[in-house]
Amino acid sequence: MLIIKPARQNGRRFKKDSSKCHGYALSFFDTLEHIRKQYAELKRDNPNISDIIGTHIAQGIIEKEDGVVSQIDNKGHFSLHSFSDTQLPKKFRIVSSLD
Amino acid sequence: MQEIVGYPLDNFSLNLRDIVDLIYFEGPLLTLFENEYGDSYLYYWCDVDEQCNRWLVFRVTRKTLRFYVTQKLSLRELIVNPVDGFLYSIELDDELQCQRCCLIQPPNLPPKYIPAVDSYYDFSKLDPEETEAKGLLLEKIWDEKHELSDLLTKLFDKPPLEMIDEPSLA
Repeated sequence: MLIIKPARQNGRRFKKDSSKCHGYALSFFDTLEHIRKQYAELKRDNPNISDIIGTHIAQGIIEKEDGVVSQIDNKGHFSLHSFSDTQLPKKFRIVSSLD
Repeated sequence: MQEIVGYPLDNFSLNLRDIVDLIYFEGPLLTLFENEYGDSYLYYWCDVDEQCNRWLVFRVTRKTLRFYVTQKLSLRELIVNPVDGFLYSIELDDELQCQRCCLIQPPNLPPKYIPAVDSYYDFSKLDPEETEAKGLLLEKIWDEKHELSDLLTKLFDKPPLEMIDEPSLA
């Protein structure tokens, strides 16, 4: 999210150092079901949410040499700090619309 | 960015400090703020363009905030029925400078800014990185009398006699 401008912030930029670190990670879900569930939840609160998170789902396989992943949380979400020489866009393809 | 109908203000004069992000996904979506007198305000993300993010800012009472957090009120109800009868719309740039500010009445809100009927809260929407967030939030909505009432209602599956003004057997 730190790469995206303007930053979606409203107060103190980072309450913790770890939040800043997470800001440089890419966000993923482990299953299509989890991402659809999360999207539905976000859209209930913010109908305009696709303006910031996008409109489609891309699927791919992340491998050890792509970077460092976090633990998968109970919503199926995890983060990837990718290595500088990875070619992630080539490993992913759009599979469906979020809506 | 959606067109909005409101009353333009020269600047956003409220002096608020952020307390906790209530809804967080790769950044805040709903944040509790407080002024110097302890009044609570919510910042609700609603739109973005190349320069700014737009937030709706509105005051909430402790009671309405508690009702929201305990799923007795939805986010939609908070937004379409703000305590003051209006909401601020502020546009913050990348440096958090307010580039545009106006007052909006709820009937003039674009439909895309209004949450769903079932936009109820749950604590899983907090930032998982913010381990102290839940405690902070509970502290802000804490009200001894009501918390006790809720607890007793849960324990006895109905309001205790003393709380509904009926004679006690004790």
